[in-house]
Amino acid sequence: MNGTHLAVDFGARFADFVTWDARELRICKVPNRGDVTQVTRAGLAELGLTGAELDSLRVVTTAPLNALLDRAPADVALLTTRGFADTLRLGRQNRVALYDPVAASPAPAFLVPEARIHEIGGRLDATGAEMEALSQVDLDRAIDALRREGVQAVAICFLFSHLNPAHEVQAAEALRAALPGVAISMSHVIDPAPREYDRTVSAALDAWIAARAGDTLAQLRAALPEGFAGQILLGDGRGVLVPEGAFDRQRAVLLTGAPAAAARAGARASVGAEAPEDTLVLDIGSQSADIALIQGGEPVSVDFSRFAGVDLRATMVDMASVPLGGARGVRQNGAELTFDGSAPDAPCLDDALAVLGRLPDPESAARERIAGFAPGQGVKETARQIVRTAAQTAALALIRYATRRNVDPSRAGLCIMGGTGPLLAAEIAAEMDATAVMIPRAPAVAGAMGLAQAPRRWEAIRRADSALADLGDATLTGLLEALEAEVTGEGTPVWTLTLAARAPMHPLQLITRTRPASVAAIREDLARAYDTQFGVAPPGPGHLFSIRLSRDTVTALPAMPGTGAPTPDAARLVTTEAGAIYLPEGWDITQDGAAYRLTRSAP
Amino acid sequence: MSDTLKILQLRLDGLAETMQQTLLRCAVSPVVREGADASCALFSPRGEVLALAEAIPLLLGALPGSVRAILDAYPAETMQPGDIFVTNDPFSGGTHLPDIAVVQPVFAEARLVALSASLLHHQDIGSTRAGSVPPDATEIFHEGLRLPPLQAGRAGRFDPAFERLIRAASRVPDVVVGDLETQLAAGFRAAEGVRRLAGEAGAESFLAACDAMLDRAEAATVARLSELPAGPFAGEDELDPVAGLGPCAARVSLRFEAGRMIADFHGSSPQVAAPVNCVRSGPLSATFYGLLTLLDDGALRNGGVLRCLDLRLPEASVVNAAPPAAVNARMNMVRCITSALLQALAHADGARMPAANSGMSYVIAFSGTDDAGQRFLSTEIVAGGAGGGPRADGCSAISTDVGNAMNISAEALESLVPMRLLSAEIRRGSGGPGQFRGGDGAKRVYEALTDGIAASIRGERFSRVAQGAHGGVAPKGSAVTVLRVDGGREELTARSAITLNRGDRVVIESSGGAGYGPPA
Repeated sequence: MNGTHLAVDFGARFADFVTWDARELRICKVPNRGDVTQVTRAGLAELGLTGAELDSLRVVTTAPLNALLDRAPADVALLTTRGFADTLRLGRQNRVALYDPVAASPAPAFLVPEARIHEIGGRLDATGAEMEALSQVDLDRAIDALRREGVQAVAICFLFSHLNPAHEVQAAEALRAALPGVAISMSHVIDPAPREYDRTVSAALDAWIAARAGDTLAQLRAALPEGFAGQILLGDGRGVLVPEGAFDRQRAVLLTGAPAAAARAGARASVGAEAPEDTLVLDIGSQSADIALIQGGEPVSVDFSRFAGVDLRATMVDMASVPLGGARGVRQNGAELTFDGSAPDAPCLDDALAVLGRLPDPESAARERIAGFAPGQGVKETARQIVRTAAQTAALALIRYATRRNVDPSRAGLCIMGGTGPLLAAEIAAEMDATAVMIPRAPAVAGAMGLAQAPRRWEAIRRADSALADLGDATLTGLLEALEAEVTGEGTPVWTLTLAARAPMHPLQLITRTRPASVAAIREDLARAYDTQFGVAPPGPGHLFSIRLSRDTVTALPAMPGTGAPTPDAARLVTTEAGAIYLPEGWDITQDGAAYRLTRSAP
Repeated sequence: MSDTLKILQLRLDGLAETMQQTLLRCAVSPVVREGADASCALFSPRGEVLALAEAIPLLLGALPGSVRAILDAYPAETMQPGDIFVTNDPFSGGTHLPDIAVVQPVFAEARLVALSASLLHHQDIGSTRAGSVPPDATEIFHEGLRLPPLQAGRAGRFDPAFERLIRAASRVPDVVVGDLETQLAAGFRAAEGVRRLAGEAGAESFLAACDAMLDRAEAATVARLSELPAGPFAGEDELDPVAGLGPCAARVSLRFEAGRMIADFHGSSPQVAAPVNCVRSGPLSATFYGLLTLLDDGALRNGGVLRCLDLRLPEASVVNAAPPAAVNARMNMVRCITSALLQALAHADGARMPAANSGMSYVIAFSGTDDAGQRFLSTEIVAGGAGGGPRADGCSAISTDVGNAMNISAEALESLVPMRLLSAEIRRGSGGPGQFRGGDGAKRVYEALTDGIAASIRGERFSRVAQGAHGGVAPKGSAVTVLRVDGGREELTARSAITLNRGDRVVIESSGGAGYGPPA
């Protein structure tokens, strides 16, 4: 091992590569046409890496997220308890937009075609005890159908499997024997918590990702030479690195890792003595703009969120994804411009930026598309209108995101990155009445940089599923010792306890660096958490779902070489290590170790 | 986006939503925790809505009246920091007795700058039946403890006497007191945020900005309503007929004059001796919701919108009952009122409107005492289908118009009460045919796991269903069937109270939405 690492962010149009060792850090961007093997080889070749010298290869990809945003179909099936085939379609009965006269459900029914949902007899009760054995007849019938249908992945979600996984395991074993090669997603593994709709979504989404992107890692491995002996690490939705084996257990790792890595880059750029308490991070790529919040130098996490329009029950960076990006087509929607155009000749935001001289337009193709979009209107004026609308759209999304989280957008810091973001960062800031905006070094490869800066996490989890009153200190100690035996090595141990006041209530997480001393101490911590978060005493005696132990280590990055005082060229563009920043008149730019800082010098 | 008023609105909306999340995360009652049967809002010191949570319009519309009644009894200038006011009085702005509103003043720089308000459906507040929604009530005196607008606490704590009163009235006192504390906490959280907001520019400027925000919403609403034809536009809907009970019809005449919406409900039926009457908050919720659907996505949603509403209600009617009318099962009357209003709005602004939705939802409660002598009680709300059109089929089994309650999962239900949910399905074929089909209703089958479970089932649209639009066809009606373990079969009607024994099954089927356009 020689201490060389590589981080790759597979985006919709480019794959961004960052490699480093103790001495230097190098960057490259390679066009991505969807073939992971080909693009990985191209990146290795451009960086002069054989792969054999790599200690670690860190990976995120936006392909599953972009497919999810587009509601792409997949060859997925679902096995569910008899009588509950409609769980995925019924959702929770609520609607997306309260005041739209046309009621629309947020339930992600597109994940599994209706004809591929199979009911299986067999029932557990509310304690997990078996009331009715799993129906082998139903299972055989479903397997025959799946064999005929040729599915790539099967989700299994049976009632109360979070309390007793026996039926799901039995069904999975039968599937594996009958349909080798088909990916299987068991709900009790992916999301072992009550409420069957949420667990069904988790399992179905896992299977959907398996069908859409299950071979991503195989393609990646195919690009690596036989001599590669390093680790493949995946950036997950929490913005940490986990071993590639985590993908087999929970494929949503691949869904949210890319925007979380960018949030990690934003966190690194926004530290410093003068950093505000809250910083809003915006990463504008080619297809989507992702927003996150940094507090105290760390991305804020949630346990449940509606991400890309799908309700996800997973711990992840608190992100919102907006359909705004450099390659998104522009559409005239009444009096408004929107970024969801699908017409083949529709211009995109990058075309407008090219017309304004912020991106190259060697064959004037961008100019032609913009000219055709609004005949009779000046091309530059149309381009300015598109860029202004993009900045307003981004600003409004940031304000909505912030206000929903009780963050004052006018006082929060702003950090903008991505291939497109720095080309309109000052305009976005101006729309928000902000007088400063930070842009990380090498902003066009922010996701890969975030991946390089992300901590490597070792972790294990033990389920307790016990009322605190029934737990007992001896049982608790057994759980803690088992975790400590499994998670050894460097890094400060961090304990994450998932609890609720009562078992049926929505859980919350206690995160502490102090080893839980006793059940009584946990009870006190629970009371403090309720008081801090909600201002009430826990409305129940306490229930412990699980305990997780984790340790993080960070690989040091060499200092990025200085670029001298950043100076705009004639087109007001400042060239960075990767990507350019547009600096409008009336704005100044400085650079420190981690970021560029744009400040407004004139109104 | 140098739009400080828009940002102020979004920030206040965010605070209202924080209140809502506090209720949903901390409430003990399953109908709140699972069904989201609660709503929160912020008000100006004058009692105008400043911000609404994304909650249930049916309840959001009840808050302005409750806050008004409290301000009438306790003028703003007499309020002190830490004061707590409550009411559940349907005849003082409320809805029905289980919905208790908690209102708290918010002070900044020693000035009253806002009021926080929450409304939460409590599990039991007395009455002749567990759950406080007796289907056989004929007067409000049968329905539980009635709290007129009153001061229930000082210095941020409920008065011990008030707590004793609640405990004495309720079958599940710990649950009700716990949920009241949660409402209090939600108010504290909002107050903290409002104080921070007001502190940024000063209380005086904050109040002025709130006024400007209200004025802008009013101006935008006036502009929108001025685009609509004057009318009048009529709408009418009616509950299923019940033997021995007079008709329960909601009739509205809608006019648009000088940027105002005049909703005149004269011609609606007189109130009846059954708990289906609704009070003023019902038509207010429906018309407030109707106004908000007319505004675009970016509109400011606050009390400025309500300034453009002229609500004219007949006294002692099913849409505006007078004491001592029973009102606990008022929800389907509110849905009727909303259906009538949406019909009228479709005449005025048809291009955006789908066909009629199911116009109903079930409220189902299971209660009893378990083998260990502990009381159990669970309430759930089951929706019907959305109307078809104008550009796609209607969505199945979804909360529509003034509803937005969530269903209860089998895993939650079965962990709360000795019932088994055997199936939860889309009731296929129940939506009305049409060029765009109405959404289907829901079908749920329950089985009792012990003897003596009391079931209260309130529904509607068993015989009188929503009508199709533009040649679309009506959906199937609702149905409730009890399949006794001994082979007996009973078809229930709109409001039923039955006892279930081990092995008995109940099949609940909700009505679909109406079709839009002639079927192919």
